[in-house]
Amino acid sequence: MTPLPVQALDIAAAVVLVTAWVSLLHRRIEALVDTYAIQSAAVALTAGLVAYEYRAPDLYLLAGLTVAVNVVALPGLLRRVVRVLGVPRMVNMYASVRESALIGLALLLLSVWVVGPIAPFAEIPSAGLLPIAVAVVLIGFFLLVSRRKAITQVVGLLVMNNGVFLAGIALTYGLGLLVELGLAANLLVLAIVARIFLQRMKESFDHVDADALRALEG
Amino acid sequence: MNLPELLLLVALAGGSAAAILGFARPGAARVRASFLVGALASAVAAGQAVLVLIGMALPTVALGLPGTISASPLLALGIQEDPLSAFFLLVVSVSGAAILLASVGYTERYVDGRRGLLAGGMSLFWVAMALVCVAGTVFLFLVAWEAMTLISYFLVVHDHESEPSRRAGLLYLVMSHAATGAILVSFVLLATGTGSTSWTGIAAGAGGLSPGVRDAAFLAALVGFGTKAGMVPFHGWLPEAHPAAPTNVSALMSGVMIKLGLFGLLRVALDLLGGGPSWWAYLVLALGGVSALGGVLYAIAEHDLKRLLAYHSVENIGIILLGVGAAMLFQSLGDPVLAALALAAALLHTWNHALFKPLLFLGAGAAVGETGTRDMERMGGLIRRMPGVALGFFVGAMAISALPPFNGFVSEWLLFQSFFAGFTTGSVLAEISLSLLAGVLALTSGLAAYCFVKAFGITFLARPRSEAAARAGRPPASLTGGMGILAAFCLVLGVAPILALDLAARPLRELTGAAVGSGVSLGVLSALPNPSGGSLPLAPAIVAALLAGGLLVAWIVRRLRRAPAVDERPLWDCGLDAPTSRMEYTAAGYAQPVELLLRDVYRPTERAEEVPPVRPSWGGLARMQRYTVVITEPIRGWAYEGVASGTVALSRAISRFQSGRIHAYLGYIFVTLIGLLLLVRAVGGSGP
Repeated sequence: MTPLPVQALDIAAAVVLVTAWVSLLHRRIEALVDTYAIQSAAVALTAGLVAYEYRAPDLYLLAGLTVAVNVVALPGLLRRVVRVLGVPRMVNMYASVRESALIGLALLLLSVWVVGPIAPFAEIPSAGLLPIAVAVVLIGFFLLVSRRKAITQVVGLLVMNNGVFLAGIALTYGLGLLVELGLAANLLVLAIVARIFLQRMKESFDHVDADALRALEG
Repeated sequence: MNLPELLLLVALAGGSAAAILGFARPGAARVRASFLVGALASAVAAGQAVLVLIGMALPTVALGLPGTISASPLLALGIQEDPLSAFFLLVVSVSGAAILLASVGYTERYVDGRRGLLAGGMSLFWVAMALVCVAGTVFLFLVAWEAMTLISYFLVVHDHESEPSRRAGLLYLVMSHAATGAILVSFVLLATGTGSTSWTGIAAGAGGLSPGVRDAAFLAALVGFGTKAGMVPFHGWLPEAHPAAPTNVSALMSGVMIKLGLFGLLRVALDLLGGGPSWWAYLVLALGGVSALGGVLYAIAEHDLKRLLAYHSVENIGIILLGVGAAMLFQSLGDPVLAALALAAALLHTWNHALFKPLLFLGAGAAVGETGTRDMERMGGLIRRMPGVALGFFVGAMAISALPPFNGFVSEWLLFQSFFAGFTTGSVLAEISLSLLAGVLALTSGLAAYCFVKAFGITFLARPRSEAAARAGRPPASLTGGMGILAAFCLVLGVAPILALDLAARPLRELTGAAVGSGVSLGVLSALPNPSGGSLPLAPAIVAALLAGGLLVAWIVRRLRRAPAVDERPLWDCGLDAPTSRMEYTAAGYAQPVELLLRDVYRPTERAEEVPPVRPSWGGLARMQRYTVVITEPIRGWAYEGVASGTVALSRAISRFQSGRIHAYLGYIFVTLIGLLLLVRAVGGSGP
């Protein structure tokens, strides 16, 4: 019987994966942001469990940071953007929901197929997280590519970041405190820049559709 | 620091100082001083090269690592002067000195603005060319090479207010750029294959390269350096850039710079790679033959004096390539002595062309400058307005037509000798192709002479064909002086070619491995097995002696025969008052028989049209017709246009990917990422 924390770890990782996939299904932006918040919480939980199981006290700090930034601050910021700027609530996408769901599954299969057999990592106990992390990164990337609006693209980027974070935990028990802090700070700055950028777009063009950047084509 | 090193430093520093002097706030005196300092530096470099060629050497340490402060500052820069470098430094510097000297007067008289830029640019151009010669590493070579290209581009567009100048400059820049790309490929192949970036290191390791890499390096070098040299079919920039540039720049480019393309080719093919399979040689021979014949044919059809000279550069590069190709052929057949003979012809012709081509260009510069047109049909009679220049041009025309006693004769004679000597190699293919190419060479020489009868006769003889030609002034003394130096070299190397052959002995020894003594002309020629069993005579001297003897005999006969009393009467002038310039042979008329004969080659566009009647002063018939022929190179039509439109189409196709949509760009990244993951799994998936 595997120890309880390890089972919990698997469940938390599964939640991260499922939320990533679910985020492909949402049509409403608020729901997308909520899903992201849940995913971040699951990532934080994973970090905490790894910290407990493998005696890596740094990770407690990171888990706390994740909660503060990724669960509370960023989703709040995004909701505010939606509310203040009056972004239309619907997610505008290139691929339909059904296609997105299938592609998400394909990406999961791909990452298991590709990352599964990478031998050098087999000794690390938490290496089982790696295919999940890669799948989350790929799904986040797909979100980034397939959604029209700048704000949904920001969410895609954040999902990708969660995947990278998860991979870091899986392989090295955290990328190192300093790197993680830097990443978190980066994310915040990104969110703020995105906020300002969206504001400017709204003021200048009266919409926040990244598709409209085509007008710049030479 | 020994004497050659000191002299080289002084020369390079002097050239740079001349450039600074020119670029600094210009004044007439500064421009003059800049040219003179540049000429002096060039002359010092020529002396230095002679010292190296007769046996002195730069200090050599095992390998001066870049950045280390070694005892020798030049070594630290990566400068290395082997005999081949020294020979080309000599070629570059003798002509460079003469051209820079002539430029003093030329610039003052015929260049309107930005004289300081021209002066500084030309000195800097010379420095870059000298650096190309003495660079001992790939890096320094490429830096110097690109500097040379860029500076010459700016010199070509010196007259940048005129649209044709800018277009010609652009064509030159684009082609040179592509050529440098090819050279880079060649050097990267050589450097990565041998693990060294210095000539010595590459030459030492080149034997271990695979045949495929050697072939690729050679072909890339042939394309890259061939473009710079003006080899057909990469010569397209040459007839455009030379007429566009100021004529002293044309002299420096056509006379000197294009030789460095040959230098690079010799460096890679013979020095670094040490020769190759015989198909390399046949390729070079074929390109040389096409360049020689094509160059002279289009020169005949050209009545723009400077374009005519530019096409002759293509022709002469072809002749030199024939020598290089023959040398490579003999080497691949295992006959170093014959290879040395053919290469001696090539090196000698390289130097000879570097002497007589600037001479011709400077003469053309004076003619063009004084008459204000490049069209030969509007010159004529200039020999009375500028006898010195006409004499210089005449010497150049004799030399380029390979007539004794001038230097062009010697090198082409040697080339013929090497071709005929090729019958002893025992390879049937070599014998057939060499005899065919000997025919091509003979035809080329004959046509060149035909063409220069036109170039000299129409430009300088008879009556002026236009008002401007009738009022032409006397060109400045320094221009005539510079031409005089070049003409003197043409004569001396034609009468005593042994001087040049002695200087070429060390590079020949090093490139072919033949035991060439210092008295190379005697050594090589007498070592040759002659079909008739004896040894080949030292021909030029004998020919000169025969000529001199013939002249002497003619003079004695004339003296001995009592000249009959001469009764002078006016010539019957067909009832007209006095012959006018309209009765003279025109350039177009002179060239027409050949054009007619080679109609299928030229494919001319002819047009005869009625000119609106003008009532002549004497009353009478006033119907006039004008006949014009336009001849363009077919290769321009399909090859160059094809490349240009292909490039445009390709850019269009690529620009379709540039949709400007951020999602599309992200999508590219996404697809690439997925593709890479699949690739990793497919290729490296050796896990459990």
